[in-house]
Parts: sequence; C-alpha cells; structure tokens
Amino acid sequence: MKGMYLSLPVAILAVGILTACATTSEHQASAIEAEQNDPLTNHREVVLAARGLSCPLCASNVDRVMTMVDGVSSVQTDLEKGHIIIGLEENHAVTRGQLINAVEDAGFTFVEFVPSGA
Amino acid sequence: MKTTLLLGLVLTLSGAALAQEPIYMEGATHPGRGQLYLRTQALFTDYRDSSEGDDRLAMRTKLVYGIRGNLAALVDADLERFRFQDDGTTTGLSRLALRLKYRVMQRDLGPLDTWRTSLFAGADLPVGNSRLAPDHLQPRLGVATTAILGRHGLNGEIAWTRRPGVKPDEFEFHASHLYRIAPARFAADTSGAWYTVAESLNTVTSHGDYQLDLALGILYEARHWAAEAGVRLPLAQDGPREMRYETIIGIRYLF
Repeated sequence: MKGMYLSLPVAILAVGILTACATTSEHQASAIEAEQNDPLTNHREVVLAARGLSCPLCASNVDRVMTMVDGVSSVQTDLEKGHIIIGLEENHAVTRGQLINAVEDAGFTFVEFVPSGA
Repeated sequence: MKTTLLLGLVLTLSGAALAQEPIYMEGATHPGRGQLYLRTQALFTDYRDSSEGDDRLAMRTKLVYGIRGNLAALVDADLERFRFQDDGTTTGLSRLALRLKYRVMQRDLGPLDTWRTSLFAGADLPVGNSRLAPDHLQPRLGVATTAILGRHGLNGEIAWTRRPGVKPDEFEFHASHLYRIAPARFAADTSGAWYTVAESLNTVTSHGDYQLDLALGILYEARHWAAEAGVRLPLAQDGPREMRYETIIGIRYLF
C-alpha cells in the first residue's frame, strides 16, 4: 500500500523528466526574426496571441513585464482566447520584437500578432 | 530575536504569489523576468508525542525573484514557536534557505494549457536558533513538474536534502492535483478563480523514518494576489515526532 502511494509522485515526475530534454519552443524562429524590428508606429493597440497563460495570477506576469516596455500604456489579458491586448502611447517606438520578448520573459509562448477585429 | 519576529511580521502583513501552485509542495512555476513574488503562510502543527503533546506555530515566507523568464532565485525563511512537552518553548528562525530554480522544459499546449519542468538546487543555511535550525549547511536538490490541462493542474516533485552530522538525509516525493471549481470557463473579464487542492506529501530518511501525509485545501486567486487554506493529515508515519494534524493559511502576492 505504501509502495503504491509513493509511486504516484514518482510516476508523474518520471514523465516530466523524460521530456526535459525536449525542445522548449514551438514558434518558428525564422518568422519571429523577420518581425523583430518591425516598427508599430502606426498602431495604438496591438493584440498578441500567446500560449500557457494558465490562470489569472500567472497571466498577470505578462501584464507586469509588458508594462516595463517603454511606450506601452496598458495591458489586458483575455484568458478565454489567450489574447494580450496592448495599448501603445502616442509617438511610441515599440517594435514587434520588444513585445515578443516581453511575452517570453514573462514565461509564456508567443504565437502570433492578431489582426485588428479578429 | 525581536528583529527576526519583526521581519516575519512585516513579511506577513505585506502579503505574499505564484498561482495554481500547490500549498505545500514545489511547482514548476516561475515569476516573469524582473518580477518579485512573495508568499507567506502561517502553520499550526499538533504532535501526539504525549497526552500534553508538543505543538508548533510557524510562519513560512517564500520570496522568489525572476532573474529571467526561466530562472528564479528563491529565499525560504521559517520562523517558529515550538512548545516542547517537557522543555518549555523555543522561538526562532528554524530555516533559511537559498535556492535557484531553472526551467528545463516548457510546452505551452494552448491558451491556458502548459506543461513545465524545473530543476532546483540550493541549501539550508546553519543560521538562527540552534535548537530549531540545522547545525550544518544542508544542500538540497530537486525537480518539479507542473501540467495545467483545462480545469486540472498536476504537480510532481522529488527532492533530496543532504543533512551532514547526526541527522539522516531526507528524500521527498510529492504529488498534487488542483481542480478549478469556478469559473468553469475563463472569460475575457475573469478576475479570479477558485481551486481545490489535494496533495500527497511523502518524506523518507536514510535511517528509515517516514512521513506520508495527505493535505487538502482551497485556493482563491485574483489577478495580483491569492489566498489559501488547508489541513494536513498523516496517513502513515514512523519517526521521532508524530504529527496529529496541521492547519495552514497563506497569502501570495506578485509585485
């Protein structure tokens, strides 16, 4: 009985450890590179899709990291769609790469920029 | 001593955060780069050593700083008031630990769903009250994995603590399940969520002592803070001090 009881956490961890050497990112590096320096000067609001937001408190990480980007005025997270809605200041110099990096620095996976109205 | 108590009180009142994290065990959760997460818990433990019994009142503080998105520095500090059945009461710092936690695997499967694994390494420092705290540096290594799948959260942890001197090494095997009871689905304006928490907490030592516990609790998390409460019950135990039950309340805050 004790052996069975102990086997549950061991089994869960074993699966986690076996996957630890797997690749850590699913987005295509080449596509991101092309967007890194793409300025967003004509935008006052940008929507990003992300993965792994998990929960309200987890998602607040992205709010806080994103607001550290100079030129970002507001951040809202839509947990239903996995969207991050970013308000940008007038005359900002924010690039796509900065926003992508902020999503990853918060511990989540960037998927794509969502077209307006989507 | 007054300074230690004051520090503990300040940390408790300042609130404490990382979410969908179990109440007791380690999860593979990290704050974002440059983010500071504080978690404070108050515990009461009753032991059945005798008809009077020992008991313990503890305040556990965890401070986590995100160095990078996948690397965090952790400080754990436990302040205890331990009432010994036959030898009065002792109060003091019983644990001060420094650790690094590195995420080695991350698979974000959907808007909410994720699966992550982290390694952690550090040591409990020989500081504080000598009757409560370790006499030697105690290295600690471990691995934790966390999966969030819809309304379910699963965690596993294995840790090893080397305890030089007379105490035996400790090996911990923990698992937990969190279930989001409300809301059933997140909406654009969701601002909080309720979870049940069930944890299987198991420690064995190199001398053969063991402590197998079940902990049940509830967790509420908002956008910037969370609160938790639970009870821990022994299922099987064999060691120098046997627990009857433990209660815990806590708060988490993401700065």
